[in-house]
Order: sequence, then C-alpha cells, then structure tokens
Amino acid sequence: MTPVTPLLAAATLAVSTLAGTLGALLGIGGGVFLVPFLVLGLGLPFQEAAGVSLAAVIGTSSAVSAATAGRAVINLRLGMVLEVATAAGGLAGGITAQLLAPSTLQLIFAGMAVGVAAIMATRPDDVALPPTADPGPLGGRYVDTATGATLTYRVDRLSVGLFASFLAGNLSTLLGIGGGIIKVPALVTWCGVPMRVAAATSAFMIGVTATSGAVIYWGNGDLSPALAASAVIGTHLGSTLGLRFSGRARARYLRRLLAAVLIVVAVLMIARALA
Amino acid sequence: MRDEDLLRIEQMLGRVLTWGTWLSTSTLALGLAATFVAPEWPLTRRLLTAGLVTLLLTPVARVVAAVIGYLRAREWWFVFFTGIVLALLIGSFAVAFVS
Repeated sequence: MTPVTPLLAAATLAVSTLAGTLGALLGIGGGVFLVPFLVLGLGLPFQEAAGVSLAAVIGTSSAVSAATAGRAVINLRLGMVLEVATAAGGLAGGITAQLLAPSTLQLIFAGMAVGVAAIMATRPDDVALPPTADPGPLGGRYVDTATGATLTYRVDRLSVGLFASFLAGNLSTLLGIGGGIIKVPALVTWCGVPMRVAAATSAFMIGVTATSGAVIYWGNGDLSPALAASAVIGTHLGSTLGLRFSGRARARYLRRLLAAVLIVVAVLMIARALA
Repeated sequence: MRDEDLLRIEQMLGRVLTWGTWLSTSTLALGLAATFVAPEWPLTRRLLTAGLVTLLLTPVARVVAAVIGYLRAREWWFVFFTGIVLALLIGSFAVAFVS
C-alpha cells in the first residue's frame, strides 16, 4: 500500500472537502472526481483510489443525510425502492466488468453525461402540482426552503429511475463511485422529481451503495486506513459547508451546477479513456 | 403509510446517521493524527480500524433501523425492500471477509 505522507493526507482531505460540498448541494458523492484526482494527481494505484473514494462517498452520504433526515426533503419510500435496484446492480457488477473494457465504459459514460447535461440545463423549472393534488404512492410534498413554496410531485417513469439505480449500483464498485451522478440527473430529467428531493434522496442512498464496494476493497487489502480517514474528515467538513448553502440555493441554479459538473465529468472520462 | 409514521422512521434513521458520522469522524481524526505523531503506537492502528468499522457499519445500521421502523409500522412491502438490501449488504461483508 502507498505510504501516507502528511502532504498526501492533506491533498486527499482538501479534495474530499469539495466532494462533500457537492454531495450536500447536488446529492453526488464526488467519486467521479476523487478517483481521477487520486490516480492522476497523486499517483495512487486505481484500486487504492477507488477504496478511498468509496470511503469518502460513505462519509458524505451519512453526514448529509444525518442533517436532512426528518425535514421531509428525502423521499424515503422512493429511496428504499430504488435501493433494491442499486443492490441488484451491485451484484451484477462483476458481469459488466467482464463484458466491457474500462475505456469503452468511460466513453459510453461521457456520451450519456453530455446528453443529460444538455437536457438538464435547458429544462424548465420544477412544475408543481396544486398543493392538494394526490402525489401517488411514491411521490411526495415538500416545502422548498429557498422560495417557501410547497411543491407536490408525482414520480413518473419509475422504470427509468430503477434502471438508473441499477446502473449506478453496477458501476459503483467498478469505478469507485457512489452513482449519484447517474441517479440525480435521471430522477430530475425523466421522473419529475424536484431537484432538491432528488439530491437528498440520492445522498441518502449512495452510502449503502458504496459500502458494499468499500468492504470488498478493504477485504482485498486495498483500503488505506489513513487516506480513508483524511477523506472522511474532508467530506465531513465539506458537507457541513455545503449544507449551509443548499437550503438557500434555488433549484434552477443547482440544476445548472449539476449540468456543469456533468460536462467536466464527460471531459475527464474521455481523457482517461483515450490516455 | 401515515405521514407521522414515515416522519418517525426518518427521524430515527437521522439519529443513527448522526451518531455514526460523529463517532467515525472523530475516531478517524484521532487515528490520523496519531499516524503522524506516533506511527508505532499500537493504539494508532486500532483507532483507524475502529473508525473504518464504524464508518462502514453506519449505513448498515441505517438499513437495520429502517427494517425495524417498517416492521413496527406494519409496512410489509417496505420491510421486504429494506430486507433485500440488508441481505445483500451482509452478503458483501461475507464475500469480503470470509473468502
């Protein structure tokens, strides 16, 4: 395992702080940035980078959800249903690894990210149903803290949400990510879930997804305890910071930020696939 | 499911996550500090391991709490969903550490 110098620990902590902030704002664990940073920037082998990244995702998920639980912004029912698809995807992860080369996977991922970013950036604001409307079995109602409006929403096209969650679980261990970057855009773009709810629900789920991968890296001796510690401290600081702003930020800006993040991810993925 | 049941479950999960987060972060912070101050100290390794175990068990505890919450609320479908997730989580722990 790579020896941990104070500089390496500090760099991991710093970049994890950013990941934690993004987690609080957008519901993504930041694994898509952490892994390339740790591999290309700090020279860690991929296995170790993936292990540290998954530890950071767990830290972000637990810290963000500890703060948002009980505020009616997490859609617990939807989260529990999608978690089943994610767990099933995780089980099938080994099969995907055999069928597709990592570079092919990254190019597919990049293509999807650009498409989804374009849809996210141009989509109109969350359409609220009348407050008395029936939210259906999986929908919900919540008060948007930035505008004070009560939003009632239904969950449309559950199959798309289930598929995205399956994919997220499938790629989680393989790429060292939590999969929020797949789930949040899908829920917002196709399932009619408001941005803030999608983010909180995703942040809630990714901890469980990342745990099944993290234990496997740990079991193989690829999880560096000191680097995981740096990452977890960073995500804790970052999510505290992000939560300060997430309540006030308008959904429209959060969605544009997510679109921008997707473009950066696409560029990173293409660069890695062609490197 | 009644809204107050759902809210109670959510608050319970929130408490589990709050405890888990603080416990794991503070243990890992102590362990990390000890890594640089006293790397040979036997407690250093133990602190880091304990912190990692707490980190990894927090999501598991959260799923266990959800199963219990839905059992109490007699929401059998959600007992089923969370039960599957719990089983698969335990499965990955078993695969990682038994083999």
